[in-house]
Amino acid sequence: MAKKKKNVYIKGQFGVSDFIYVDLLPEVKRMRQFNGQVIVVLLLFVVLAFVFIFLPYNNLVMDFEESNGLNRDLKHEYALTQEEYAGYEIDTSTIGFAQDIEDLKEFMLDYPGVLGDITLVIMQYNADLVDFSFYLADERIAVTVSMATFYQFEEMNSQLRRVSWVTSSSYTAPQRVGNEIVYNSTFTLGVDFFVE
Amino acid sequence: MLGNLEEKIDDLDRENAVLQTQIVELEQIVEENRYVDQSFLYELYREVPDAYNETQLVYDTNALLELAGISLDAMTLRTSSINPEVSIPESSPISSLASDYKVVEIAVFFSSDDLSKIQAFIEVLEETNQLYILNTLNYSYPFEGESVPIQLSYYAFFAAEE
Repeated sequence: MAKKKKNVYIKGQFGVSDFIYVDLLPEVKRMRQFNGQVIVVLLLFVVLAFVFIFLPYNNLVMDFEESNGLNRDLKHEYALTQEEYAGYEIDTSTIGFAQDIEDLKEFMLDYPGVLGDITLVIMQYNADLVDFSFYLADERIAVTVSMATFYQFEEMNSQLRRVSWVTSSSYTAPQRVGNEIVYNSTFTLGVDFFVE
Repeated sequence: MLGNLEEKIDDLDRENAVLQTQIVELEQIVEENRYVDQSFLYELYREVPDAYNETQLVYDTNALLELAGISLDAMTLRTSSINPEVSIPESSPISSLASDYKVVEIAVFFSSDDLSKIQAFIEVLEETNQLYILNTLNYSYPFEGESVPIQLSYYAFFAAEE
């Protein structure tokens, strides 16, 4: 864009006034106004950049350094633990095999123990065992009990529930056997294999 | 740039969590087994033999019965059978444990008026080198000295066939 020329009046040495053209840089703004705006914008930019870029970035860098440091430490610790593991020559497949055997043994029925507990309870009622059944798949024992009285089966059931390895106990309605004053009922007992 | 850094931190955190879990698991294994005599563990292979041999199992079953005083005669009517293709029901508490092994069911039947033979046989099963788990047991109490039928079955375990 062509600069606008300003007309300036000046008196010459012969007293004749004349007009000359002087370029006084009319488009140049005052220094204070120019710097102030730029500085404010720059300052605002710096502040905004500090708040929205530098601070989050700085925080993220610190987090990254922290995670990275922890990662290095953990890798080192893992390598040391692997060396310790290798040093003891631990065979996990054999250990797992041994554990399987131990776990299976938990399901061996303590036959003398359970029979003894049941016998102890029914002896309190002068009752007799008629038959005994055990089913591992259902984790239950069924015993048929014969008793001379009709009314004590519920009490016996409560007693059986108090036995440590019995998880549940129920009984069938007592049935009279023939013409005798004897009643039979079958008790179904849930078995807890993990009771000491 | 910030997003990229966040992604790297997330990856590192995930990796650190995995590493920590692996370290804890490995340390636990070391702690639990550092003093285990490894040679002793190999003795356990007697309890669960490598290979199933039906002839051997029949022989062992008869030997165990004889050891418990359940002899083969006209009074006891002793019989035994082996089911090498048994499938353990899912409801059974040992179904998951037994899934890694070949399981064979041995069924035994005999008659007796002496119920102590049941306990004797179960004790023999527990004391023998091989692992046997009682599966079912059924009997009635004898009335006035009569012989009663006694049925029981148990599982034997073998290394799974390839």
